[in-house]
Amino acid sequence: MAPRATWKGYLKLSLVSCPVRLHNATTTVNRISFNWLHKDTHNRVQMKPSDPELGQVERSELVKGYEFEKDQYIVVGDEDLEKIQIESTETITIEEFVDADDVDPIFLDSPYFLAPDGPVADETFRVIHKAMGGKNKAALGRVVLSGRERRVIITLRGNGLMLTTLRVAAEVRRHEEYFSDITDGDLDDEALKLAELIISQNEGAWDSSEFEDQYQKELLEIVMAKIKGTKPVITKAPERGKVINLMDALKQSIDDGGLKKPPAKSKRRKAAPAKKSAAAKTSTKASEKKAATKAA
Amino acid sequence: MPNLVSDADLAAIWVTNPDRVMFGDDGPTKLDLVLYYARIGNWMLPELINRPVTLVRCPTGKLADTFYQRHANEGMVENVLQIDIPSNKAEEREDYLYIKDAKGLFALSQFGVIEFHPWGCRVDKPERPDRLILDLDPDEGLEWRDVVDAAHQIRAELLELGLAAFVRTTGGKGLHLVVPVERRTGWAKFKDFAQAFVEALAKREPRRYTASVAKSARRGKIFIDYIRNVRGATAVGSYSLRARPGAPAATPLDWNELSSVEDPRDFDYQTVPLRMASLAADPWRGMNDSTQRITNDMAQKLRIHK
Repeated sequence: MAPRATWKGYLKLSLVSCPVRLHNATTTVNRISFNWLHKDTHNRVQMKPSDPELGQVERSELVKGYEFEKDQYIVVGDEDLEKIQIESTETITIEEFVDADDVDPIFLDSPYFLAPDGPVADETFRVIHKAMGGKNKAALGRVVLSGRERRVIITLRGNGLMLTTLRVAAEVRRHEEYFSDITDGDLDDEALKLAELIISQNEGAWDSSEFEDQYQKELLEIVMAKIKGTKPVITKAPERGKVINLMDALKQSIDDGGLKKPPAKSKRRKAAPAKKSAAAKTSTKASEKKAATKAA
Repeated sequence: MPNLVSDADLAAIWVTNPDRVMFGDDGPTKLDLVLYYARIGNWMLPELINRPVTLVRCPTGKLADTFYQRHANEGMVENVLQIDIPSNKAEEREDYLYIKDAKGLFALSQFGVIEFHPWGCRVDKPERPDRLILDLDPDEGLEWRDVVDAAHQIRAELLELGLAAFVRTTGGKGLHLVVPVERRTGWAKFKDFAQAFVEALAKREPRRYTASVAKSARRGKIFIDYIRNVRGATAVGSYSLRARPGAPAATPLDWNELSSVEDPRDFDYQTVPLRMASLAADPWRGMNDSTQRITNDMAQKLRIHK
């Protein structure tokens, strides 16, 4: 059973369409995130929006503003945004195929796995997959995700496909201005040979299993050690079941005559040793009081 | 005696699952056991605080689910501290648990801890033990009377060496003799002394005592367990309940009381608080003022006996 999809619809190639689903291909759930607590109370603080005139306000009272000049805002309401929201067509439309090697990685944004949705889709999906692989092509297309139309590129991924949203040209900086100081004169042959030798000596196979976030790893170790060593700072009041405060219970037991002599023991037991002690003459009530004073 | 338990200590504890029945039908409830420690805390704490302690927990109430715990786990309760003591194994260090006040005791009992087994040393000088323990463990066929007689005899033997011993029940058929000593010797000498003492005794009265752990050697005899004095070993502490049917308590006694005890299991979670309320004085008074120590002279005497 496949995990829940983030999107379901059709992959459309000319007149052929195939039911597909999208799944996020990356996750940040393994990253440690923090909550803000007050340093003394260790309560989780509430981040409430505050207005300089009104003080604390509700989130529902907030509207969006665009600062078009310093301190000059134009309010953009939800109704404005709705106008430009594109209705989902539930379709990934493939527009053209490009050489897979030509795909510029700088445009790649968020990756998704693209899988056939249901057994009916299987054959069509595999046909598209095989044809793309044979020609080493990547498909450029469009899809509406969260109300926005996105350009996407579809490439092979194992026996399935990968859909990657693409950045728009305006979001990607041109590299030329950053590299303009690099000259193009002749190089020393010896130095080049040496560099090439070093490269060939250090060749390795791509192994992404070695990629780990050392910072996250060490952070996790610190957090685990703290959890193990001390108790977590937060003691949430127990929520489930019956809970009694120990002082109340102790008082209650004294009021109930809680330190009663226990009922007679079975034949094995003859007499409680307490009865033998010198002070056994003391009345039960008095003993209770005394015990209570001592315990309290 | 100093007041080690305050209202605030009690009020800080919320007992979850108070009605859970512990150790089978007719057993005490969890609240009964937590209340026991609330009542007995003032007596118990002096011999428990600031010592590394091994815990016996029974969070579910089922005897089958009872387990020992020496180190903190995730979710260990507040007011329980840890001390880094080198472990006996190689060079590794381990964090052992200890408590320093009533809050720690109550928090642990609420946490499902039934038994408290402190080390014979304190956290400020863990390499200098101060409580020598001889654990009298009778073979099955023996009577309680035999154990009581043995305790009296061993007490006399220790006195002859110059050491005053205190006695407590263990919650079972055995007895502990506890000898407070000043913190002068290290664990190795401490244990050697205990071993030499027990072996000398077993040699003189081989029909009555054995120093051997082996079951076969113990038939009809009292095994005097000196291994409690090995570094890292523990013995059930004074006033600790036992995770057994009836929840008996390890109970310090005055030597004068010992012979009148008919069944040590009569000391339990119900009777011990009553007993303490009616006692005129601490049965172990003088324990903490003791200035006795294990001397070379004593060790010499034992070697001669051998």
